[in-house]
Amino acid sequence: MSSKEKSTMDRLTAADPASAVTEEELARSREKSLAVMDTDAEHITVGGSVADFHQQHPGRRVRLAAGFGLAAAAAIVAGVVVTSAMTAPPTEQTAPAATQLDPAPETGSSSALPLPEITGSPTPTVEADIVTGGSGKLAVSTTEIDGVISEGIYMRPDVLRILKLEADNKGCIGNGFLFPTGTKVTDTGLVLPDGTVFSTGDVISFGGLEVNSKDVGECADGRPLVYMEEVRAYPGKVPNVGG
Amino acid sequence: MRVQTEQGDRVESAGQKHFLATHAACHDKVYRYFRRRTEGTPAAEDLTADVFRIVWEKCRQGQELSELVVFGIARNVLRNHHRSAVRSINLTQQLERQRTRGLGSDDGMVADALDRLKPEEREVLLLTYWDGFTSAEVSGLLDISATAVRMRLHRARKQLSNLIREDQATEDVQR
Repeated sequence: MSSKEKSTMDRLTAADPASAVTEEELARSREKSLAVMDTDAEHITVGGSVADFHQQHPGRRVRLAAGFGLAAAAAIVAGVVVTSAMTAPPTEQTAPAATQLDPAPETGSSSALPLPEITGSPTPTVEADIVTGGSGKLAVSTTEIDGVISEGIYMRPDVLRILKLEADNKGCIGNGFLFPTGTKVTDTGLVLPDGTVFSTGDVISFGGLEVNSKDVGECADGRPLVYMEEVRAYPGKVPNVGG
Repeated sequence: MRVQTEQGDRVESAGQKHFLATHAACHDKVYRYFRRRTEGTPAAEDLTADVFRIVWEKCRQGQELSELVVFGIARNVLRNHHRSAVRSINLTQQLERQRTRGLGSDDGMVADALDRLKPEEREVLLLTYWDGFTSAEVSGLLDISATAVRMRLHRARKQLSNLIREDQATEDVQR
């Protein structure tokens, strides 16, 4: 590539309209595109779903299309969207009770309902608080809550805490995780507004963290919590001590 | 309307997991793809949601979708969007100009020059420089050979460079 072309390509890259995309835009779009999970919406055409149509042999598609062409002369063929959620009674759409997540969902039918969403999270986990723990990505914004607030928090650097993911619909977990407002609670886990997925039953671990500064907040149900503003990964060998 | 079975629940749960993983991996890129090629934020949001509605349906059928497949869906959705826009207002040229000028680009000269490239060459250029795909990925996405991708890219770069140079010269003369 010549230097003139290179300079043109630099200008092209700088002119990328997507460089103006904001995090708010992305968050709004993420929320909107995740909303498809709230329903059992399925696009139905005459003779089956759209997906079925695409899976058919091409020859059959042509014949079907020809048939539709003829039929269209006499009638309007309308697409129908069947949304079973529309028929669900309103009471089924209320927010779930505490400890919504069950590692082994009993019915699996909740996909027909809107996904429960964490609301009123007082000190939301933010991107900077999402750190890589001993076994994967970890959202941490609080630590030991009950009975230790007044003395402040200090986690022993030689202890690894291992917890199984669980959450209530306020985003508070007894052992001190807090997920942000807008986090979706699914059958299989949690989806943070930025799209980060945590699965129920995943063993997530952290250790050797110390609280360098803290900000006492309160869960929506009145439980106190501590917001860890800075966390550091445990640099040494991780002992197998359960949380 | 669905019959719930234990096996069905497992499939549903796996489908949900695949969908969430695909969404996390592809959403932002798909959204940006539409922002670069449509007339504004609402259209990009709608089209992105449309893509993930299709992805959701496929995941529920047990399909696992790669990023390239998701972008293939996005291309089809965009094509349909342009088709219906053209059908409704029958102003393809104006739409194209609006599209590139309304993208928020500060460099109008680049936008004008892009407009004058052949569509197939422009697409290869944008997929490479804006969307960040490799030649092999562009080849898979557009279903053309890697050689054709390289050729189009080479021509597009050269053509864009020439067009901008000409425009710059004209502008200098006018001053």
